[in-house]
Amino acid sequence: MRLHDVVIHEGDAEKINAVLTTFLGESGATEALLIDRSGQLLAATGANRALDTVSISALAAGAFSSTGALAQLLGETEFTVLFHQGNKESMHVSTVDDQAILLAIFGERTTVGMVRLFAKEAATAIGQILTESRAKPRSMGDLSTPLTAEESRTTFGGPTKP
Amino acid sequence: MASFSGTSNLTKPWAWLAALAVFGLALASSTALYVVNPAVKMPLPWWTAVVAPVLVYGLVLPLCVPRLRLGGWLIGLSTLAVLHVGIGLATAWLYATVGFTSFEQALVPALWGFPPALVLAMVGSLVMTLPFLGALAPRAAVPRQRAEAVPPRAGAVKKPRQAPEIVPAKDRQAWARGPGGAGPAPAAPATVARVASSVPAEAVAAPAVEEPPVVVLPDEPAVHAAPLSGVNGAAPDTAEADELTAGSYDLPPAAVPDLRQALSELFGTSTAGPGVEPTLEPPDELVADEPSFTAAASAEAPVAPEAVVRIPFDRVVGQLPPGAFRVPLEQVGARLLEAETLVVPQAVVVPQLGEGVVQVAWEVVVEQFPAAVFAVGPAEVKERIVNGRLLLPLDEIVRQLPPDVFAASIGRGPVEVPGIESFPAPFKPLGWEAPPEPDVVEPASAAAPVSPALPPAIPELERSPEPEPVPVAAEAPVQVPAIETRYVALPQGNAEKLAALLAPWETAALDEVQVGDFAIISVSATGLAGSAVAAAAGRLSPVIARRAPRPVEQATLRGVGGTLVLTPVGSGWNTGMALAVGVRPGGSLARLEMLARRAAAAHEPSSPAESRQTLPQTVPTTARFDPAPPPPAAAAAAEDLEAFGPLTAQSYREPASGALIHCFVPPGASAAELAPFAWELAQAMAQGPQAGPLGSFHSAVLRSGRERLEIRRLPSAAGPAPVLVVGGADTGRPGLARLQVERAAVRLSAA
Amino acid sequence: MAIINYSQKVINFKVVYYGPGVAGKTANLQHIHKSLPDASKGSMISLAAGDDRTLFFDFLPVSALTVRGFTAKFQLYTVPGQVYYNMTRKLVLRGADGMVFVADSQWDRLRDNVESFRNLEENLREYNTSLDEMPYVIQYNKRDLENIAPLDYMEFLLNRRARRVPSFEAVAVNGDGVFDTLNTVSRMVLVGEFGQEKGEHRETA
Repeated sequence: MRLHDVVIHEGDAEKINAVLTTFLGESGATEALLIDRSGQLLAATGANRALDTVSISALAAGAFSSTGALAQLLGETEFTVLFHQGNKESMHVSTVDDQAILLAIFGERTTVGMVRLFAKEAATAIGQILTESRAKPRSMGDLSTPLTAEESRTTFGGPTKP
Repeated sequence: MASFSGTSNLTKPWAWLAALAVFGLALASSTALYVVNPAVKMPLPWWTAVVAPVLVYGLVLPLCVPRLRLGGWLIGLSTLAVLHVGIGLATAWLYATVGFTSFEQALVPALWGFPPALVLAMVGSLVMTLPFLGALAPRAAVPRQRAEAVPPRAGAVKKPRQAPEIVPAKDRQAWARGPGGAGPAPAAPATVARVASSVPAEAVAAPAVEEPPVVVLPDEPAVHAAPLSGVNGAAPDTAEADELTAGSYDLPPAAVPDLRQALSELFGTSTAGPGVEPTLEPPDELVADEPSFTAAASAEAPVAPEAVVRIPFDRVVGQLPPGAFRVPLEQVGARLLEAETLVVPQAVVVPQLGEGVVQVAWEVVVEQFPAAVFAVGPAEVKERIVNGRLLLPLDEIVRQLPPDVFAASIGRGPVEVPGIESFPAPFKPLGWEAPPEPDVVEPASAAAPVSPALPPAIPELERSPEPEPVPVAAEAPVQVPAIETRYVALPQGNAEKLAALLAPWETAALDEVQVGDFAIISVSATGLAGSAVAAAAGRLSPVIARRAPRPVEQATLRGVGGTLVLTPVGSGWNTGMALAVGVRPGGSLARLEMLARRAAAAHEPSSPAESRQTLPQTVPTTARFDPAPPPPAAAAAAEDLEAFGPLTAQSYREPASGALIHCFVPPGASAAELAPFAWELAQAMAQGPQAGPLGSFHSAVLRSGRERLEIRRLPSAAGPAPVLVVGGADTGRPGLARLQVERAAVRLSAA
Repeated sequence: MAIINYSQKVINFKVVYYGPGVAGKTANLQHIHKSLPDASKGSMISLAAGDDRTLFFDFLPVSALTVRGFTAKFQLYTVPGQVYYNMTRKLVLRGADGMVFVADSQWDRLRDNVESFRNLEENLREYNTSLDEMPYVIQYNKRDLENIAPLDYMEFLLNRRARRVPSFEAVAVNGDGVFDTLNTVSRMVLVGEFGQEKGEHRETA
């Protein structure tokens, strides 16, 4: 593992999912995604639609970062909230901390005001979880020791893989 | 201390005011200190007060003024001494006034007794002269100019402006009109004493130009700073020195080089530096972290002062402003010093190679244009050229430069990524080990649904005995049935034995295949279909086995899709068995080649079938190609190929297609047998499938004992592709050999 | 930066394809997308301007192998190559674990290659990192064209840092060299993550 990797331990994942589930319940949103600013998905909760969460994460992070650059051109640090309104589905993206953003998808069941209100709370809670997670010692679990040559060969299924 | 290569400011009022201010300040502080504590005495004898300032001034002057000559130093020293004494006297007067003593009495402390006064006097005189020190720098000798040059700016010089008395106007005119024969020669030494008379020399350089009485310099002092660069000091020196020494230009009038020689002797030449100031950047921003490479690069590019590159004029003509020329641009080329060619010193070009773009300032090349072709003055021509610089075609430059220029980086050895071999390739595209596209499947193979049917581009040779791969313990292709069909004649267990020897190598597929007359044991690294490797080997082995003039011990063939190492198993090609190893590009081939040789040599045929020598013996080719004249670039290419020992060029023409085969062989050897073999092999190399892994090959290296043969297909825009063949001694520098062959290929492709 | 998710048993890496405009970065991804089995890839997103030039980025998630029970997934991005898109390039670079520099081999594009490479170094500096810390490879694309520079000159231009990197010839539109490049850079990233390193990157509990 390298120094700057983002590690999500099991316990953290559970906590984050709990926060997101609460958020969905309170705000009335249908899906919530926690996304790293480099475009990778950290956690996702919500209705079981077959959403392409991977693509959504990449695009949302891209959009968020480009609006962030826009904000800087205006002298702001960044726009902390983005709201995209659609006909049936809308999207609300807000900052969690300088590593992650929270994306909420909601329909006509709720309003952007509700979503924004609870998103803020959720963001704070998640931010705390992430901070604690980073403070934890990192080399835990299966990936803490480097792979041996034998392991990489067989684990990856080398030439003898059926 | 700042280096005063800036302009001298003798004419600037602010400089004088500043000097005055400093003078006043020195006096005031000296007096104040004296008043406060006049009792401070100098512990050293009185003559220290004379020696010390002289020493200080003498040492400081050369530090402040670059390339200070003796004359300038003396001038500076005496000025400073005068100032020092002057300050001292003024101080004495002040002391006398303030201290109510007589002037004579005050002289003692002011001049040497009172240390602060001494110090202040020294500092004061230095600071006062600071703005003017630039004037002491040696005058830049002026670069040559057109006769119709803009009248030079009269830059300030410490040496007072003298009228150009040496060459009176009428003589100058006569000089300008002269064809450049004996006339200027006697005048030249006289003008040497004048800095700027190289300008009239320009008029001489313009050959046979029937200019009207030349726009000769007006009677203002001819002393001036180089107008093109505008400042004294470093830049014009370098630019001018570059012109002085980058002297591979043939100047028509013999006298002019003498003049330049004389000028350079007088003013001292700097070394032939890169010279062109605007385009000069530190060559290696890419490698900013490593000074060692930068040093190596500058050391590696040892440029002889006469070394030049020759750019065909038509490559740059488009950048010239037509309006600036009196004749149509097409005709300008014929009139250049070297017709249709722009000659650029390598010293200008080489430092820019790392930038991916090479430019040359107009001044560097302007002399190659006869003055007559210009319709406007040189400054204006330069203005009309974008940025005043011409972009040079990189391909021409790279082609002409010696290979050592790039050797620095290549010479470091192969790239190593430690640990990477322990991971297999994570991404396997469709068709990786799977059957090829449907349109490729042979209808005849429907009998045994052999999945890796060979791609259709294979010549007839391999169609008749249908290859039936033996599914060994490897990633078997998907559709092979469970029944293991073995070709009876193949010996058992060869693959495993070889696999053991090749174990360090990451293998993905190990097959034994009969292709034509050859049993091919194919070992393919991940990503290459075993069938593709076998097919390629089967295509090439017959040619190599039967047609090569000398027995080939190993052949390495490179293509964009991969590399194939082909080694005969056992005692030679007549065993009918060959080991074919296919890898992706970018691996370390040397080790692989060695392993393959070892594996193949150590292998004993384990079945009588192998030792049946059913293969026809090597049939020396009877084809003879017609000799053809070698192309013009061949001689240069032969010189490039020094890793093979001395070589001569022989070219042949293939009768059917008319393709040229350029052979480079040691002197005394004949390439007559080599050419047909190379041609046949090149054809076989070209026949790979265009898509998919391990397609066609563009180059082959064949080793026979101490000899090395490289065959390369050259690109050709139209007509049959020529073939480059290099055969010579194997000097043990394969990397260099390959690079040199590539260079030769580039040369010949352009020809 | 890699994202290791213990609960989902996934490690995510980000690999960015960099290079001057129209060098073939998008072509690389398109070929990869076309050639991988469905199980190994996600959808490819291309944010392009009307003329097929990348406007913001292309994105292709691909998954690879399993390490100790973890799936290694690579997210491949391309950046827009034109000079004036520097701001968006910087945004896409964020969190990259590996890079592929795609160079256009044509003579008249060499300068663009050099400038793009320097731009890469500059942008990495803004993220407080550098090419020394980033696994990367160089791909010399368009080797099928006529007016291309020889390999030794291209290596001199782009691959003469103290730490030379693997380089590949390619014709991305045909797919030649595309997977070699990808496999090498992904393995380099994996080595950096899992390999037997000397300890600078290791953190002990």
